[in-house]
Amino acid sequence: MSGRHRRPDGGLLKDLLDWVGIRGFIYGPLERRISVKGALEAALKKPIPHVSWWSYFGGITFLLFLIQAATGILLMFFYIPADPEAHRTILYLAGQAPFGWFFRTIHHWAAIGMMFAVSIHVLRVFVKGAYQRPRDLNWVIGSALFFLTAGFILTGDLLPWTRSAYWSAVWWTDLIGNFPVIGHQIMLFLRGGENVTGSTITRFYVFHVFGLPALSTLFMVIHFAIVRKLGISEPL
Amino acid sequence: MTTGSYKVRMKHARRGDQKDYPFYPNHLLRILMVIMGVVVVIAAMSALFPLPLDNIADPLAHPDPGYKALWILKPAILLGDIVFKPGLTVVLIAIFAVLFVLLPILDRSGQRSIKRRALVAVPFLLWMLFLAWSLLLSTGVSG
Repeated sequence: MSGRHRRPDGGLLKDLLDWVGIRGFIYGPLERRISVKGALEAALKKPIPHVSWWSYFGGITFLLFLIQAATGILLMFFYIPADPEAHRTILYLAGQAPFGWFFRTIHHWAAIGMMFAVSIHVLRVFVKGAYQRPRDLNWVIGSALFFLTAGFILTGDLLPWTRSAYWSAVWWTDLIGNFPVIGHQIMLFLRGGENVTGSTITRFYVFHVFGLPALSTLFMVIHFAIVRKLGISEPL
Repeated sequence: MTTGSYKVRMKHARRGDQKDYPFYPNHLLRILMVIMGVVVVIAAMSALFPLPLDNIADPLAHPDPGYKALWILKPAILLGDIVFKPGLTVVLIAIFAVLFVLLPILDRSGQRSIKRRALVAVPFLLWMLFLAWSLLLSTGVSG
């Protein structure tokens, strides 16, 4: 390459290395198009009100949701939602799959942690009266997320197709079936028939890995957008 | 901005001398501490308390009298034992859920003093303790 065509800032090789290296990418070509550095500095300098440790439980719930999503995807690689394959695959996962028992147990404990974290979050919002205007809509969305979390636990419990899970599912779907007028229809929809069978596993699996996560993600986006717009509720 | 250690600055903030802090370093460090704490606790619980797997479900068998219900259902089971009628139990749960969601409409006073809600906050706290107790009783459930 002749000197006439060489670029003054180090040439093509430096540009290429800039693209490959993350730092170079951020402060190089990307920075020239969108101001990453400026946005990062603005985010780091953004004034945040002093909040107590109790205010972190909403974020902890979200963190646990992410852990659930990650471990849930790993469990999905092995799981078959049918009778009796559901139990066999969990047995394989717990006994033979590499780290299967660990991811399954993390999924279990994170679910419990998520329920308690969201409960503490709701309690804090309630005690501080932060559900009042202008955050009333956020309370409604947040309470829907609370029930969705319970829905995750109820639907996920049946998936290993164990005795205890079976009778728990029979009990609570039967309870819903006792609701006046529409209860029986809801029960049939949940079970996929009159009884809890293999088709119930398939339905609960679809709710657990698609329906509830999709709804939760939608509500969380709205929830966070409102928090970002209105800010964290000030201490009393 | 008030200078000094983190503890001193937080003390000033609590007194109302200063309201806001930049996200970095105070809040970012706290968030990282919380993330680390949660991950460590969950990993430790998973390593120390592995989840046993119950026998496969048999819809044709009679219910095992010793089976442990899912911990989250315990409050509903207790309510069912008290009111005795399943229809009434599910209606009461539905009413509670609707009241819970519509709380901002029920309380439009605009006052944020805890005294107004203490009567409801205490049962809520008791309900959470009950859930924790149910969880402890249900250790070893299918999962």
